[in-house]
Amino acid sequence: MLTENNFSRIGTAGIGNTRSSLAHCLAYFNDRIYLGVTHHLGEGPQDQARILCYDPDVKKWEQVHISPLVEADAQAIPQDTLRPKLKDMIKHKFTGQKVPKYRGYRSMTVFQGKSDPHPVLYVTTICHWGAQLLRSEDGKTFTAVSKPGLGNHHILSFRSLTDFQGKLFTASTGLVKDGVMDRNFSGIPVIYVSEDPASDIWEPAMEEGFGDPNNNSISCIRAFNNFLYASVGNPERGFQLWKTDAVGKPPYQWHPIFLDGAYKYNLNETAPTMIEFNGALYIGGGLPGLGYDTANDVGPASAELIRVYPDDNWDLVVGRPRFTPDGMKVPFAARGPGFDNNYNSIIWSMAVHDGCLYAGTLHWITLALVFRGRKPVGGFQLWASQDGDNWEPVTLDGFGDPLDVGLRSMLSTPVGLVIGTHNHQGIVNVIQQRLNSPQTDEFGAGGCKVWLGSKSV
Amino acid sequence: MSEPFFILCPLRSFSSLVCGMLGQHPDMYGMLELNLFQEDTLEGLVQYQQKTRPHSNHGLLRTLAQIHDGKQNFETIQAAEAWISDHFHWTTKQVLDHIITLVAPKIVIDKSPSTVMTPKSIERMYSMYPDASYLHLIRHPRSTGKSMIDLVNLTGAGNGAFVIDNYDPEDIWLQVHTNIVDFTESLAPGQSMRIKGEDLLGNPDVYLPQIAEWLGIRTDREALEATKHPETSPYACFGPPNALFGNDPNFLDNPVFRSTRFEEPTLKGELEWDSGKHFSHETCKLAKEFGYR
Repeated sequence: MLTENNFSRIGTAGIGNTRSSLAHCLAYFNDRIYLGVTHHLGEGPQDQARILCYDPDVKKWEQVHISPLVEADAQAIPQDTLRPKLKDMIKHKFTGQKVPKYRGYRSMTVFQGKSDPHPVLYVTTICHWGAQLLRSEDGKTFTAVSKPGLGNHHILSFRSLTDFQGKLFTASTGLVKDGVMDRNFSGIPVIYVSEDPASDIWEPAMEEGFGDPNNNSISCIRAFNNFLYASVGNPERGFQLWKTDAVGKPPYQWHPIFLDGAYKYNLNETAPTMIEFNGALYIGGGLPGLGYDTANDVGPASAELIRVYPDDNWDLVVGRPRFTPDGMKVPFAARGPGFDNNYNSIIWSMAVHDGCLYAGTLHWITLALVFRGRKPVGGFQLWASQDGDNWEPVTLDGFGDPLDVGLRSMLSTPVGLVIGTHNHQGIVNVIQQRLNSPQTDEFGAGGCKVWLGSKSV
Repeated sequence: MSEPFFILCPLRSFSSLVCGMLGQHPDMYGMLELNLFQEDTLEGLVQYQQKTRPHSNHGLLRTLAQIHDGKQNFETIQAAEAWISDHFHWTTKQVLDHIITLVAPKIVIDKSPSTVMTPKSIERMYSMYPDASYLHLIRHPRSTGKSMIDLVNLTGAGNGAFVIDNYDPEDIWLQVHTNIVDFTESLAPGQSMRIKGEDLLGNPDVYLPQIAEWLGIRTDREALEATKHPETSPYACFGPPNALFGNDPNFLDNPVFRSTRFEEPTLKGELEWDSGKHFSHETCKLAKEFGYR
């Protein structure tokens, strides 16, 4: 199991742009680490999203793609459902400006479709004019290969690119429509499938929202035990878990494993990360935002970790003990919600590396403290387990940076465990400015970080 | 001395039936409503009850009569009253400890709705029994509210007719459950559990074993079957004339469990007891966290 001492920082300060606050997605391709960074807003050229490539041999980053710029229009300044007061504050900045077409990249994976000569790198964009799929054969040249929003230009992004049985799956996430942006819930909860993404041939793999009008986001897709699993966000009832064998023509037959946030109801609103470990599928859940979903007025609540077995039975690993139709569920890790920490609002990323399961959280105490005019303390937490039951912390304070509030991306690679952070320096400074509090500057200039965990470090 | 077990809920949440059922488990001892945690001392409690609801001491009187004399009649209730007078100086914790000792090794169950009406009473209960187990019993706010109104109309409270200005069922539901959630969230995971009354009573074979497992009591068929017969409790009836109640009069009149699949009502729509009004946003938010629609 990796410890804090096994991690070295391989990327800092947004890797060339401190406004790149979110290390959103990772892939390992052609013996290199690829990273897609996301900007919270797309205010101007300074917020162009980038794809970065790290060569472990020479230990250097290279920018391999940057978003083109477009003329700002009404779509560039949507009202954010998570931050209802923000629009008026930033509106003036857009007048007559060029803004990035893509302000982020949400998912990337290596896949070989029918038209691909070999496995290539696919990346999904975050775009206010309809998210797209980018493709690269060599990891240096990226080409858009899909229509905006796969035909619906309101779709903000696609997440969870997943290779299953030779087909590529992805889910629409977020929406920009009628001047309003929801980052997480699209209102169009659909998984799309393609055998040939290079040719832009996509079909819906499911009935929209699995027929439930309260299902408004596909949060994660993951292959396990010859089935494809999908977690579905639902602010009214809590997240749902479904699976399909994806046999026959799409849309496929799907079956629910459980509904109602595994009977924690809407306080288990979404499950953004799932991974196979020791013969079970581990599911990290919680609430989006800072422990409270402002858009839907859900919460506050803390994260849970659940595991599902091939026979569809399930157990609670971390979370609130409860009675359920499936029997009493008591956390196997003997840890309550949020790994016994209420500020861990969601398990945001997971990976299996060298036989251990790792889970990274979003931990929002920093923001709570700054709002009270106090000094930031905290940072994301990274937990590890060799058996899925017994968990130990790798770090409880964002490796010493309380402004790195979330661990958003995680990937096991031949060179080590790569993790990418979400940094809140920018937001913290804005809050401190408004409160006339001393500015926090001892943790650097902001921007996401990337860490590499390896026993050889 | 075993730790007590508390059922926390507002009135009209199936607590009489649930307490009556669990109380018939061979390892448990279900009681009437003792209302002990309204005050620190027995003297203070008696004075408080005389000022507010004099008959709210019926549960304590009947319980003391039963455990002291093995029966509840006019004379044993008088004896219980005398015992209370003799023990005015006791704390209310000493009173409950006394009961716990006399029914040992069984685990006593208290479900007094007065405990959860204020955070102060909850704090008093917890300070006295920090290691107890707590079951948060919930029921849909619409059916809870309708049941509260039925009770008001039945018992003559509010001059025998429901008046919204005196008694708002939604306010009670929201305030009491908020009190309980604030309390239970402060406990270690597993010290409290939440259950929908509709689930428990609709699927007793699914949920009774889970409660037994949680409390560490017998889970065998014989023990669980006993919980389906609350009518066999000595408290499952009206008391003698000098301590008639101590529990929901509907339950005392018909203390039988019949498994029923509940059709849960909806949070949407006009309130039956307040024309033109709907559930507040706060009520709907909490009810959804409980799993109601």
